[in-house]
Amino acid sequence: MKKQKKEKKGNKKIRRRTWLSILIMALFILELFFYTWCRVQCIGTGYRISQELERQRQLLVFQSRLKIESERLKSPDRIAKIAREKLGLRPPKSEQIIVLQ
Amino acid sequence: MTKKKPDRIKRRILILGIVFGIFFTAITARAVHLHMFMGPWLSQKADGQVKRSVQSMGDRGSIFDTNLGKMALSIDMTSVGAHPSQIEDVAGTARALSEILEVNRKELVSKLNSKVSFVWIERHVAPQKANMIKDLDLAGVVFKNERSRVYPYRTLAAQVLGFSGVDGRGLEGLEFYYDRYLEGEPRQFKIIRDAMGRGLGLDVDINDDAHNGKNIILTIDRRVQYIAETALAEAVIENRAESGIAVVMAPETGAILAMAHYPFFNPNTFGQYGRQSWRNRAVTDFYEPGSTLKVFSAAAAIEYGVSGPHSILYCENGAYRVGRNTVHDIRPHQWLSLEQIIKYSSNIGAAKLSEMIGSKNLYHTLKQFGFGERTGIDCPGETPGMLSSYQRWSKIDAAAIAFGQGISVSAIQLITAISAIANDGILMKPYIVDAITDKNGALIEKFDPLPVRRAVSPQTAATLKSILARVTEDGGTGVNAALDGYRVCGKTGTAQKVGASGTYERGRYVSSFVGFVPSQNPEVAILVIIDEPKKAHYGGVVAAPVFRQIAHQTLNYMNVPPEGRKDHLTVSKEEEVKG
Repeated sequence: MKKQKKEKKGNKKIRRRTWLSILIMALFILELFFYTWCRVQCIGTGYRISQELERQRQLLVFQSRLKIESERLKSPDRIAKIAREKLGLRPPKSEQIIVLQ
Repeated sequence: MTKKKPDRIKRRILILGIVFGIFFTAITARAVHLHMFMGPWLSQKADGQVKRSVQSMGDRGSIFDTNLGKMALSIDMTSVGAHPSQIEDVAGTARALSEILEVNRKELVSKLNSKVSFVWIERHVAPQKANMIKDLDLAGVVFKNERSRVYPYRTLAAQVLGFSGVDGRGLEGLEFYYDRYLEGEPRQFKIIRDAMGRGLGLDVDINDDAHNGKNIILTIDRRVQYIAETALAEAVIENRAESGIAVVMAPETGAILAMAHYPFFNPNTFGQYGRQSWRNRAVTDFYEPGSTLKVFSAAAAIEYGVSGPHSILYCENGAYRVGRNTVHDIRPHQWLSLEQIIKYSSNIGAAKLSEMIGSKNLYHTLKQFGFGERTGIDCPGETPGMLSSYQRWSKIDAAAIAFGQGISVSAIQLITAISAIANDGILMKPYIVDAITDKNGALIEKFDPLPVRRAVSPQTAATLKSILARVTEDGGTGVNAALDGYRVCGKTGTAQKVGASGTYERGRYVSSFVGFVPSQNPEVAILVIIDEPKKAHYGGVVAAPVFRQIAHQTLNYMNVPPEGRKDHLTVSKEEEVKG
């Protein structure tokens, strides 16, 4: 009886130890998964940042090209040509000038 | 028997435990060794495989006109290169590239066959062309983004702006002179790439403004520049001349509003033009001014009390002997007042004035107006002109200098000197850069107008103004410069050019007109120089109409009302309009 009791107690101890080991292992494995997930996320985000930076750079290039186009459209040569040829304008003569005060 | 079995199992378990224990201990020891002792070295090695340190230059600053129109800026352009060893079909690649880039196919083939690891095919390729090449997906052909300089207004003020090379260094004009401000600073950053060469987007700062170059804001107004360039080009073409220069200055400040040269050149493709067309000749070149210098001889005569505007001189009926030489007038004159000497541009009158003033006083006055020395304008390669010391002048030298021969001046010297008369006798330092700002537009340095010295008294300047106004009246040599509604002060100049033999050549002239308008409170001083016109050669015929065209349009643009006009419309907020 005493022996049986002792055996039962020993089995209980072993079971408890086994569960504890499994729990610790599971914790380690979970931590490993979590760490791997973090790293993958970090690298993925890095790729996305890199892509967005490239997109930003391309947009900046596009913006600077638009700025050049805008400057070209504002060029006095082009404006004078439109004024002269399309609108029939010319610099006013002295007697055509009315001074506003 | 039954006791033996568990013992064996226990022993086996023990052996297995010991083996695993040894393994784990070894692994732990190795891990400790790697982390504790080899950690920094391994980290560095790992970094070296994914991180690359790159050095690049900050963006070159922009150049703006006075109204903040961008005259020069830097943008990203694609350059095309190749790794010859990776090219599979050299002939096919060369054919495809030469068709798109319009480059010599043979040269391209020799480049692609070379033994070097990398060759540039073409740098700063137009975006459409770069996209066409990318679409072909040619093996061994690579693309690199590089900063390139763009001048949106193309030929406008090209000689003033100059240009910068493919390496981003200023080579000519203001790009060269202000390179230390415009140039970006070197910056270092890390690129992180994975094994596939994909960017990981860390540590890269593409918006880094701290290393960018400064912007410069010019005093030049692109609209006035356009007016001057258009009028100048028309005159040079019409008169079949070699070249032309027109400068517009604000006399009160010395600020340059326009500095035009013809023939034009496009700084975006500067390599396609000769070196001659790159130069800012208004600053770097000198020429004999001819009769425009009589203004300053008259200034000396008035300043030293030798002559008043109405003092008369006998002009020898068109021929006057000075030593062994004879001075001629285009039309013979008898008695002329100082005012008429300038109005009719009499060489003999000027020679006689010079005799009365004396070489020393004439020399001193010319020096006071800045001739023979650099004006200090902020442009590269300025010439001081040529004015020898009066002690070396012979009698004919003194006479010739008084009517603009035997002396050489630059366009910038002449317009600065005439502006001194417009500015009541104060000589101003000419300048072309108004301010320097950082990339975000915050002011770093502002250049204010700088008086150099008093060239003549205000009374002398006032007398000269009234004399110069007569030149553009009926009968004057500068009548073609007269403007409706404004009183124009100016002087014509026609100078024969000196040939390679050192003598004056027939049929080669420099025609010029210099003046300012309106006569009271002048807003603009304008100088027009036409080199070797073939159709006509008198300054009053060739250059004066250009002055009138520039002055008319510039005054309109600047909203300068005609002088003495009383038909003002009055707009009032207080009075209510009924009806």
